[in-house]
Order: sequence, then C-alpha cells, then structure tokens
Amino acid sequence: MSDDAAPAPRSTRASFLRLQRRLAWNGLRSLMRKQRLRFGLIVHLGLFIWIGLLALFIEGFTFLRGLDNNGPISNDITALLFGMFFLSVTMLTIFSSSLLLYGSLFHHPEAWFLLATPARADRVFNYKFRDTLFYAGWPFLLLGTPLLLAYGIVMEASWFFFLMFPFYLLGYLLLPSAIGACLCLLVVTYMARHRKLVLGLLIVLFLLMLLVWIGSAAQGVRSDVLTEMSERWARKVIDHLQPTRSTPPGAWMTEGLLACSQVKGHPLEWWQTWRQTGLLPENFELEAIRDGFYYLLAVWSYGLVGFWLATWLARRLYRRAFDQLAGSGGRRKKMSTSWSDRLVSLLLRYRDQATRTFVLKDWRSFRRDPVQWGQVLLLGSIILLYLLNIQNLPHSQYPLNQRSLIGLMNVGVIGLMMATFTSRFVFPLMSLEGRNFWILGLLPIKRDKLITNKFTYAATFTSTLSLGFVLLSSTQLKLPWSIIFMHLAAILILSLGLSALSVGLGAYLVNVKETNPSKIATGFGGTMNLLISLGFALVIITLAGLPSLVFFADSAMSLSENFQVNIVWYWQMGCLGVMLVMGMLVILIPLRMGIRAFRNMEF
Amino acid sequence: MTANGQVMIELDHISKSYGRKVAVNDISLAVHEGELFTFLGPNGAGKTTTIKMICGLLLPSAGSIRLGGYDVRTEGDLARQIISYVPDQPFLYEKLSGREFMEFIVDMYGMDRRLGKTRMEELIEVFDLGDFVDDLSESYSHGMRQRTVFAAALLHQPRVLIVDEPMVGLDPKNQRLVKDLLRKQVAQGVTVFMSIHTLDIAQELATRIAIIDKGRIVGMGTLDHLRKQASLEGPLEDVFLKLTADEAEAPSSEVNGQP
Repeated sequence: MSDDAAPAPRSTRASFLRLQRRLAWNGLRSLMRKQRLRFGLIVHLGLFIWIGLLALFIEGFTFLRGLDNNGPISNDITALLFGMFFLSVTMLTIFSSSLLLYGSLFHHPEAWFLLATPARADRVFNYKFRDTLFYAGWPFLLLGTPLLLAYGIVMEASWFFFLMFPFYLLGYLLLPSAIGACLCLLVVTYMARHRKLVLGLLIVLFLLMLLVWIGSAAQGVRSDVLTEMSERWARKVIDHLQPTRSTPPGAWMTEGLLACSQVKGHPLEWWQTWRQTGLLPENFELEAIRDGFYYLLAVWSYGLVGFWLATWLARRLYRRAFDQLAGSGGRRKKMSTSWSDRLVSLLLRYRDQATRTFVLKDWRSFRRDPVQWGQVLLLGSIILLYLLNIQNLPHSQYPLNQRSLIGLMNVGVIGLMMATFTSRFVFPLMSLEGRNFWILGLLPIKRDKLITNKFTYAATFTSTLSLGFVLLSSTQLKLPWSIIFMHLAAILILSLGLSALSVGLGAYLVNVKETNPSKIATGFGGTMNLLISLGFALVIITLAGLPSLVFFADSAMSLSENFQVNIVWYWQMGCLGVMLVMGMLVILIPLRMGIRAFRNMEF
Repeated sequence: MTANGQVMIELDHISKSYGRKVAVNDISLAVHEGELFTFLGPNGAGKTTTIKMICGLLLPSAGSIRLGGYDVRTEGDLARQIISYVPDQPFLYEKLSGREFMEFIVDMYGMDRRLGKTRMEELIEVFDLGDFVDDLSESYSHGMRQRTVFAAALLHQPRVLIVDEPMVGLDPKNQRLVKDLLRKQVAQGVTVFMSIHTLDIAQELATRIAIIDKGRIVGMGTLDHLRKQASLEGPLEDVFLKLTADEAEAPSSEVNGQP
C-alpha cells in the first residue's frame, strides 16, 4: 500500500517520447517481418514516385528557365509556383491536421486510456500532435523535397540553398498544423453539437473561395489562351495569381527560399578573402543570407508560437472538449428508406428480389459510413472536376490523333482509379461480413449466390459511374463513334473484370479477424488484389488504344486510304476480341476461386 | 468486511446530462478505504457514466466528486495518481508487448524504475503472464489482455481501483483469478469500486452494493439492508429485480396521476 500523500506527478514528456519511439520501431519491425511484400511495395513505389516527381520538376524548371533565360518572367512564375504550392499545403494541412486530431484526441480508445492516467491534458495533446505532424507531413515532404531539389539543380543554386531548404520544410508544417489543432479544440469545445455543420460550412466556404478565384483567373486569361504564349499573357496570369505569392506563411517560404538561392560563393573563399584583406568579397550577398535566415526564423517562430498557443488551449480545453463531445450524442435518428435506396433497387430491377435485398443491405451499410462514402465522394469529385474542365480547353483546334490520345488517357485515369477504388471498397466486402458469417451461412439461399450478389452490387455501381464518365469525356472531346465505342467497351470490361477480381479474391483471401476496411485493403490480400487489378487495367487500356495507334501510325506513313480502313478495322476487332477473352477470364476465374473458397468455409 | 477508514470516493449530488437526456440524476455516495463497493443496474442505467465521471473522463453537469480528498474537477491529475481504472474494453497498444506496456505505466506514474521492475516481475508471476508478456499484444486473446491490463493497473499500487465489468469474456479460471485479486486488494486496504452484471459475484464479493436505475440510486447498503428495503428474503437477483421493477413503475404512476 502506498503512502497517504499522493506522489507528485512526474513529467510525462519523456514517457510519451519513449512510447512513440517504441511504437514506431515495433511497427516497422512487424511490417518488415509479417508484411514484407507491402513494406517493399511502399518503399519502392515511394522511391519511384519521388524520382518521377524529381524528373518532372527538373523538366518543368528547365522549360521555365528557357523562357527568358532566367529573366523576370521565369523568376516570377517560379515564385508563383512556390506560392501556390505552399498555400495549397497550408490549407490542406489545416484541414487534415484538424481532422486527424479530432479522430485521435476524441474518438480513439487510446484517448480514453490516457485521460484516465495522471498525464496532463496538454502532454497527451502534444503526443498526439507529434503523430499528426508526421502523418500530415510526409506527403508534403514527398512533394516538397523533389520540388526544391529540382529548383536548386536547374537554377544552379548555391550550397546555402541546399543547406537551408530542409530546415524550411521541417518548420513549415508547425503553423498550419497548430491552426488546425486550435480549430479542432475550439469547435469541439464550443460547438460540439454542431461540429459537422461547422465543418461542412468551412469546406463549402473554402470551395466557394477557390471557385471564385479560379473563375476570375480563368475569365481573365481565357481570351488569350489560344494565342501564342506571349509575355502579355504570362503577365496576366502572374497578376491573377499574385495573392498566392504574398499570403503568409507560404510567402515567407517563397521569399526565404528564393533569397537562399541567390547566395553566391563559398564560405572558405569568404574566409580566405577576409583573412587576406580584412574585407568580405564583392560577391558576398549579405542581404540574401540575412533574408534567408530572417524568413527561416519567421517560419519557425510563428510555428512555435502557434504550437505553444495550441498547447495552452489544450491544457485548458481538452478535457472539457472531451466531455462536451461525449455528451453531445444528439437526437436519435430514425432510419428509413431513402431516395438512394430506391435508386439502387431501380438499377437492380433485372435481378431477383433476394439479390436486390442483399445488395440493398450492402448499400445501406456503405452510405451510413461517412468515412467510406467521403473517400468515394473525394475521388469522384476529382474525376468530375477534371472531366468538366475539359470543355475549357480548345479541343476543336487539336488534331484527331491528339484528341484520341487524350480520350485514351481519360480511360486510363478512370480505369486506374477504378482499380484502386475496387481494391479499397469492394475487396474488403467479404471480410467485413466477418463475425456475421454464421448469418450468411445459415441463410436459405445458395452460398454461390452470396458471391454473385456482391459482384452484381460492385459491377452495377462501377460500370454505371465509369461508363458515364467515359461517355462524358469522349463526347466533350468530339471523338468519332468508332473510337468512343472502343473506349466504352474497354471501360465496361474493366468495370466487370475489376469487380469480379475484388469480389472473388476478397472471398478467396478473406480476413475475418479484421473489422477495419482500410486495414483489410492494405493487408496482403488487398495488396495482391491491387497489383493484379492495376496490371489488368493497364493491359485493357493498352488494347483499347492499339487500333488508334495503328491508324495514326498508318496515316503518318501515308499509305492508301483503303488499306488504312481495313487494317484498322482488323486491329479494332482483334483487340476487342482479346479484351473480351481477357475480360471473361478475369471475371470467371476469380469468381470461381471465391465461390469454391466460400463453399468450403466453416462457420 | 467492515470499512470505517478514510472516505476514498465521495460523490456529492452529482448529475450528468447528455443534451436533454439525464444519464445520472443527483447521486450521492461515499466509499471508504478497504471497501469493495459494487455498482449494479440494468443496461443504460448510468453505471459507466458514473464511473467515467469518477475517473475524470467526463465532468459532472452538477455536483462534485472527491477521490482520496482531491477534487476531480480542480485537482484531477493528483486524483488520478491514486487510482487505477480497468474499463470493460481493456486498451493495450497493439505494437507494444505486455512488458513494454507495463514499463510505460511505470513511467507515467512516476515510479522509481527499480521498484517498478520488481513490481512488474511480481505481477507477471501473479497473473501468469510469463508465456506471452514479451509478445506484441496484437496477438493476445481477451483473457490475456484482461490479465495484462489488471497487472498494469496494480503496478503503482493504487489506493482506489475502479473496474467496469471485469468478468466479461473471461473463462472460469480467469474469473477466479480476478475474484481472488479483488479480495486480496481489499484485504490490503485498497478501495474497489466495481460495476458488474453478474449478481452472484456481486453477492459473493461486495462489502456494500448500490443499485442504480434510470440514473438514480434506488437502493444502497449491505445485502441485508437491501433485502429489508425490498421487503423480501432471498438472493440478490430477486432484490435487484424487485427494486428496479419498483423504480420502473414509479414514473408511469406519476404520469398517470397515481401516486
């Protein structure tokens, strides 16, 4: 039994640091031991993306430098690019850190555990804030390091730039993350009941501002877009985008990094000149060095003040906010049939009642899980925004081969996104039934039908959406119907094939222990499914594009028109045949594997 | 067992509302040092909410809570230093082993490292954790998790042990282990506040029992006292059903205007 006097609580900062270190190390070891394939994929794909981005940025900066040989226009465009990049990162980090902290501070079981210990509320907050910095920060580093490295290489920046930019990048995320943390704490404490409304309003406000800004910028430059790239046009663009360059904290990054890149000479050379003459060399850019440090200090000091403010708020508000949220359950919501349920039933009228009911169950589970449909909405919005934006481009002036290529690339983008979509959302469906397998197993319907029902569900949605997207993009591009037909056939085969792959492999490589769909999708089975899906998508897209390629290659060689038509027709029919055979195989084999595995499964 | 020592848990007219719903309604009670106080009630009666308020996870809408003399609202960090809370769904870090989790607890409660290590070894033996304590807890069964959490909860020798549904999902052997542990803690002067649904275990272990229904305490005292209150002789199960049934009827008679 301990003494009557309570022991004084010791600083828990070191304990949390040790905990974080152990969790990271054990997690890494476990990943390397149990999920070697996934670990290897993450590392190699990460490297591949990083190197690809570096090459892309080098190419871009080389083009910019060539515009006016590192003159005012290329410098201004570079500054604008930096400004836009850092402004986007700021906005995204504010949103992502507030959402990440909301989840980890208020909804994770760890928060309940830690708040029942003597750990101070601000220490718990600091610990979770560090996690958030890591999760919000890695995409920024993945994009930011190749961008700045490429800039330094192409612009032949001095050693000072390469020395300073990592410190800039590391310090930059502090301020937006701290703003996100403050927002999260304030909204939960004072508006716990209306938190979703506040979040929705903020997102709508942000999108409206973005739309107004893009609209005004587009309006200003559209009239000149068709003309050659002129200085006047470039100036107009720069003027419209100017606010992105002057908005802090991105502006401090831009100004500071550009100042760092201006520094010339070498410290050894400066030292020698100073020793010999007692003066600094003529090329010593004192102002640039001073600016480089000044803006770095601005980035770090504002970031640290933001962090201090967030910690101060957490000390006062975190426990109160936690209590507010726990008590803000809201009114009990009665669930009823919605318009979307009726739409699903309507889309599935070609199937029997049992199938429709079964699919409706999956649909209801999906639409009532905001995490799931939120991701779909995000993916869908990106595609839709892109497709709607096609009409702003002067396609009528492009030759048919270029339009056809753009159309094929659209099919490719939608196909690849669909491969990730089915791996993320369809593959876990069978595993998610997990603890309910005894219900499925005892249902008075054939087990095979359970698999085919899931396939119906997935295929109906993916094919409806993807056919709509491809039809929209192809008609916007004013492609001939022969090419549109090939693209539609390809996307239909892809939708059916990818759905069959995810359902079949989902049943074959089922993981009934896991209840988190993200973890099922990123496990061994999910990764395998993603790889096979991507491979299948690439083959079908290539086959869909081959006839057009032959046609344009043929035209380029100026062969007879008659010959062109014949050979293209043969190629088209040949590729379509191969696509159909591949499609049939990819539909039948995984579904058969899944059905067999499901038949033999014990409940 | 009689318990006349210091008051370790003191609830003074506490209430808790979730919007319009009153989860806990004007509860007052005092639990003394060395008492095993059992909190019974139907599902949704307000047991877990009360426990979470005692631990400082939730704040009372009205009233005050003191733990070992510390006000939970104003001296929460000090109050939590003398307690341990074992929830119904025990939390463990999936990527920590049982031993690493216990080392974290030693750090968090500011224990001397050497003393902490000695206590860890003792508890690993008591709870028979030796076979798996160095494995990652992601591989533990429910029973293994519960035993590890109990061991971690006792590391810093808390003066108040708060347990929420400790027997859920445990096999008879592990249930026996937990019962023996609770008895031993009480014998050493620890105050145990336990919420439980298994009435036999409550009857077997409890020094005093409180029955809560719809946020109000409808009966509190020793089993004999509760029997008198319910005006029936018999097992705790009958007493519990009688008292909670009476409470269920009371509001409806008021609504109908029949006092």
